[in-house]
Formats: sequence, structure tokens, C-alpha cells
Amino acid sequence: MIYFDNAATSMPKPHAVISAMSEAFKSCGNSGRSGHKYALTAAQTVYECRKKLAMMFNTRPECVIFTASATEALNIAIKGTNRIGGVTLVSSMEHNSVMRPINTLRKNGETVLRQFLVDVNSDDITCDNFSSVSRSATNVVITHASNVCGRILPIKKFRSLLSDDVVFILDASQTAGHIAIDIVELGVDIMCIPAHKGLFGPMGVGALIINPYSDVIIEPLIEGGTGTNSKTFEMPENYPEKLEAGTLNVCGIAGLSAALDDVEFNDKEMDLFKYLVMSLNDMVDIILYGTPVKNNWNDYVPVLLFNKKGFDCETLCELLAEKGFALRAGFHCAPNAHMTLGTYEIGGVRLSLSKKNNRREIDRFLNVLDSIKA
Amino acid sequence: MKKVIVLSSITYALKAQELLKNNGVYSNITRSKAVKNIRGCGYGVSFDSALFEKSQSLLINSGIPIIGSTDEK
Repeated sequence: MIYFDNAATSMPKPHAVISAMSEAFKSCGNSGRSGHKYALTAAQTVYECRKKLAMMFNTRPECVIFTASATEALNIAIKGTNRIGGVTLVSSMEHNSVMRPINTLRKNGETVLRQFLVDVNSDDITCDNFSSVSRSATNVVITHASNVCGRILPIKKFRSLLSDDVVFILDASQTAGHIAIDIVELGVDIMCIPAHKGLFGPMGVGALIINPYSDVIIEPLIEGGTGTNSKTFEMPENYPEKLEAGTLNVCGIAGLSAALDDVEFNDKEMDLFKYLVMSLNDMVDIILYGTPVKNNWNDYVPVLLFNKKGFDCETLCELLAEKGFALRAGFHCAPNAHMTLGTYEIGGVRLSLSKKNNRREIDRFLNVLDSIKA
Repeated sequence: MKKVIVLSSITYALKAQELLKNNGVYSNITRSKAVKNIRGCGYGVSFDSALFEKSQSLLINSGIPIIGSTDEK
């Protein structure tokens, strides 16, 4: 099967990831819980991964908090920094991992939710829309790139339009591993990432990454044992342990650590993406949503949304699966993004590339897609 | 005689160990009785007591939070 569902999770995972996880199952005890060799091997494994992530995103190892997913990291960041009576600002492209926790805060009267409209064709218009509602914002939570159409948002520009005391949380679920990210340069306080998408790590691991120059205070969402200072019922004051109660997924973290050794940023993915989009543009019965319009390829990660005239998106996705292609149809847990793109009623088929894809796979896909007739 | 500097967590203990190593101080991660007496459960770095002043200032200058220090026989 040809795999084009990398925005959901990347496949196939590298052998080095599987080997590292297998080795960790044999050699790692519980990190931070004892001084014997198994516990220390686990601790060293976790620390090595913290260092690699810190280097990749330009922060310090202790500013890397491991979680079970990007969703968990976002929940910790959103709820742990919320200011009662404040205003939380989001874009119109957010995933439910952002919208649902904020909606709960809103329903409980703990924040006021405001949204600005993203114009996928113009960062200037998007920034104007942002400015029109950002004045009262106390917290900002924005996706780095849409999980529906791959459009990267102008995060650095947004930051420049905010006062320093506004907490800025970045959902980098679709960009981590696809583009280089410097948390200091972007100026966001917190970014949340999954291990299992662009980074090619395993499922079950995510990270909350704190800007080393930010003074943001994040209260724990989950409290419990940390292996330190056990005689007190208070959580530790220092990161990462303040936000890492309970046993870490050491085997998953070992897998992520191995995956990070293989991350490289080059033009391969985007060259394939360009070829795919331009080829689909030439097919008269294909409708694309939110794709580049003026060679602004650098504003995208390789994710695209389309429909084929005469087909419901789920039906088309099933037909493609029968013919050996793994894609995803529906609403992709981001209803407002579909509202923005004009597909709220019908949804769409999402195709998402990775560094493992190649031109031959895309040619086969284009041929099969073209051959499917209503 | 060994000296132990007690850190707030295993993360800081490993960071401290790496920093000390890069500056010629070889240490071990420990959860010895000496650590327990200061911290309850916790971790420290154990090294030659003659290197205490140098080690302590290295950690302080790098912003690594030190909980305390003690002797380990």
C-alpha cells in the first residue's frame, strides 16, 4: 500500500526507531525512580532525547516536557496558563486538540474565546484580521500549519503584534520534522509537538517545549509521583518534573530519540508536493482547497485537501484504499478549518506526504485517481 | 572523601554531571543516604571533595538549582 496519510501518523517507522524501543524494553527501568543501572539507563535515555529536542528547537533540556501526545501537551499548556477572566485568541484553522480544551474553559466561564479568520491566500489580510481582535487577548493558541490544507501561518508576525505579557502557545503538530523551528526566533512561549508525525517517532509520545527566555508559569494538569522530594504533597517547582507526574513512556522516548537522529530538512518533500499540486491542478474533475496560488510553496507543509467531482469524499477515499492508497477523508478534527476553506458541509480527502514518499508513488496515484469515474 | 551536591531532579543531576565532565570533574549520579537526608527522594552528583568549590561555582554559574551539599563517606 502507498501511504499518503502522514499528517495522521507517519509510516513506515524507521528500523532504528523500532530497534531503540526494543532495546529500551530490555534495558530501561523507571526513569528518575532509583539509582540502579536500569533506572539510570532509562534516565540517561530520556535525558538524551531532551537534549536532542532542545537542540532542534533552540531551548534547554529542562524546558522539554514529555507528554503522551501533542494533544496532552496542548491541554497542559492551555489549561495550565489560562487566566481567569482573560481572553483566548485562536485562528480559524485550529484542530479540536486546541478548540475542545478552550471550549471547556469558555463554558466554565474561565475564558472568553475569540477567533480570527485566516486568509490562505494572503498573510497581510490574515494579520489584519488578527490585529482586529488581538488587543484584548491574554492568551493566544495558534496552529503553526493547518492539518487540513498545510498552510503555514505567520507566527512571527503575530508575535510582533502582541504585547510581551500575552502567553503564546504554538501547535506545531504538522510542522515539527517538516520545517526547521526556532522557538526563540518565533517568540512563542510554548510549543507542542507529537513524536509520531513529521519526526517519525512512535505514537504515545509528545512534548511541550518552553521558550528558554519566557517567564510563563505553567500549572500542572496532572499531579503525582516524580521520584523526587517525596515527603511533600506539593509538585516540584522546577521543570520538567513539575509537569511530568507519573511514569514516562521511556520506550517511546527511546524511539523518538532514534528518530531525531534521522531528521533532515531539504527540498525533497516540497518538490514532490509541488509536482502533485500542479498535476492535480491540470485534472478538470479535481477540486483543491487552500493550495498555493502564487508559487508561495514555502508557506506550506506537504498536506493538501481535495475532492473529485461526482464523489463523496469518504467514498472516494474507500475506492482509493481498495486500489492501494492510504489517505484520509472527512473533517480531520478541524471543523473551523473546513468552514474557512468552504468544505464544512462536504469535507474532503486529505493527502499528506513525508520524506519517505517518491515521484513514482505520486505518478501511480495520479493515474489511479484519474481512472476512477463516477 | 566524596562530596555530594544534591539537585532538584534527575534531569538536573544529569545536566550537572555532563557540565562537570565537560570541565574535567568526573562524577557519579547518586541517590545515597546523603541525598536522602537533605531531600527525601532525590538525586545528587558525587565527586572528589577537593573539587567542591570549582564544581559548585560551575553549577551556580550555569543556573542549575542546587538543593544542598553534603559529605559522603
